[in-house]
Amino acid sequence: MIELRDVGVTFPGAARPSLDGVNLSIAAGETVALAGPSGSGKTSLLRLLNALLLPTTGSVSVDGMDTRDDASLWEIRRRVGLVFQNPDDQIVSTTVERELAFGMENLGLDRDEMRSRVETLLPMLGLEQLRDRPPHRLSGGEKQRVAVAAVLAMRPRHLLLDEPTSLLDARGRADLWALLAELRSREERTVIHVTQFPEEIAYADRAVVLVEGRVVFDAPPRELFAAGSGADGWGLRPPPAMGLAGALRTAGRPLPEDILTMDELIEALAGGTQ
Amino acid sequence: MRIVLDSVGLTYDRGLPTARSGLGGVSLSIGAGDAVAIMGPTGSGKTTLLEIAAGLVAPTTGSASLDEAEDGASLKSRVGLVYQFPELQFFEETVFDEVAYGLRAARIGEDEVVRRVHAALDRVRLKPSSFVERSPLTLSAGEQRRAAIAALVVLERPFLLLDEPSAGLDPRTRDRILELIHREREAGRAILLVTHDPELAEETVDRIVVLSSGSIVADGSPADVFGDAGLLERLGLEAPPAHELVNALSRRDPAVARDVASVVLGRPALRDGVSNDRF
Repeated sequence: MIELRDVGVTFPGAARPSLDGVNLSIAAGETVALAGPSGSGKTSLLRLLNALLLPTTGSVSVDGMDTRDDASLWEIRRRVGLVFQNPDDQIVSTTVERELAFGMENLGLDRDEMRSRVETLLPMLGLEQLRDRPPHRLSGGEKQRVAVAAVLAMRPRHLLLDEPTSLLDARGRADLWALLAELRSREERTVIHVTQFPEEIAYADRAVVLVEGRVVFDAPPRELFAAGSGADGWGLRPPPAMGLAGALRTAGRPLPEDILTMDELIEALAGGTQ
Repeated sequence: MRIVLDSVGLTYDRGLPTARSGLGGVSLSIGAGDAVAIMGPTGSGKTTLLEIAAGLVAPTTGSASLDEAEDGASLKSRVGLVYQFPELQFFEETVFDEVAYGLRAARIGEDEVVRRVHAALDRVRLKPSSFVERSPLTLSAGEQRRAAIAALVVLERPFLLLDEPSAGLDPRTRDRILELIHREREAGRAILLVTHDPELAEETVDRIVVLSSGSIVADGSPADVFGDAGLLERLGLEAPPAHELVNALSRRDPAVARDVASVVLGRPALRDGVSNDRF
């Protein structure tokens, strides 16, 4: 359970708070998409959850532990894994394999366990061929997969992902979401991900939208893209399938009103044919 | 003036057991007024190609040169490269100093520096009076990206190379990057763009070059490349949603696909349909 109560964050010298009066309660195992314009406080919110950032006002707790309590810091960081937006911010090792082991070494895992987790994760993230390569010589998308694998290796109870697919190609994005879905079905794990992609918001149980440091929306994704939700005013575009369905309706092709995903649109247009 | 890449190849760790090919024999020529996107799977050599075209990395085989240029001009002096996440390179105290850095390094007079920095900030739509004194580190992600691009635009080089300029930006900020690319094109600059964002490519360039494992595997208009379902499938690449829909329908029911294509393809931008329709 992750709880934010009346949380405010103001950076020194800033004219306005980066987060303001944020109340959120996220149950273990929930998948939450965090969206909102640049500068709305999404990354600050993630950093609060593993005590990289402490609230200026209010409180943040993880499984009952207050992030301001120094004595809980180790345990909080053990439970909350954060994948940074830019993989270069977190990669420290000289080979991909060692990068995956780095966090586990700090957790004091024994060698066999580390080896077994590395051997499981490398193929899951398509990194087998790259295991001996220096991460800093990999492409942006490859580094991003390494960064995700290194955090998954620590098996955090709560997984935070800051735009984990921003450098991935379409297949890389689809593969990562499939992997997260699989992990979710196997063990209880909270996933909180920041994203700009409407189709990735649609993947979550719950969409939370931040605008200028405040929570302006907190409900299932389908409601976010319903007419009149305000999503457009917050700079959030509906999933492309909605726009295409609208264009087709305008051109006189009969289609249901509630189409959200491309799969639904394809079914509606070609349903009944194989 | 043209950037001419002639059978350019690059081998990393040449002569060592870890040697591997980054690019193998790529030929490409970009002249004034051209706007070209490089697309391809992660690790296919896109960034390497940009670095070679910018004269920052020497190819191990083939040649990269600037043709039809005045004496003394080089790739390095005529090509500006905006790296992926360019805001990570900020080191000055203010936005002004950050954008002025390249001009001052070229020993341009301070009056001219002030004029050009203000003009460059205007071009990326950061109001100079509001931003010149700010620390670049306190800007939002979208403002940082635009300030970083301004630091290159200010040099007014005829070729502008951009590596994933829309990565990590929200849709509205991404649109500002799109407009910026349009304006730079209108100002006569040639654009070479690396992107995973098929809509950004469709809306800003006339030609897409597709790389896979260091070689060119397709080269054509956005309509040609995005209409090639087999190629996209093979490389795991994404097309703009309208093409994705038509390609998926073609596999199910070609007649429906043709009908849908007549409605959704050839629209200048999908979001026009969106804004007119639902919001």
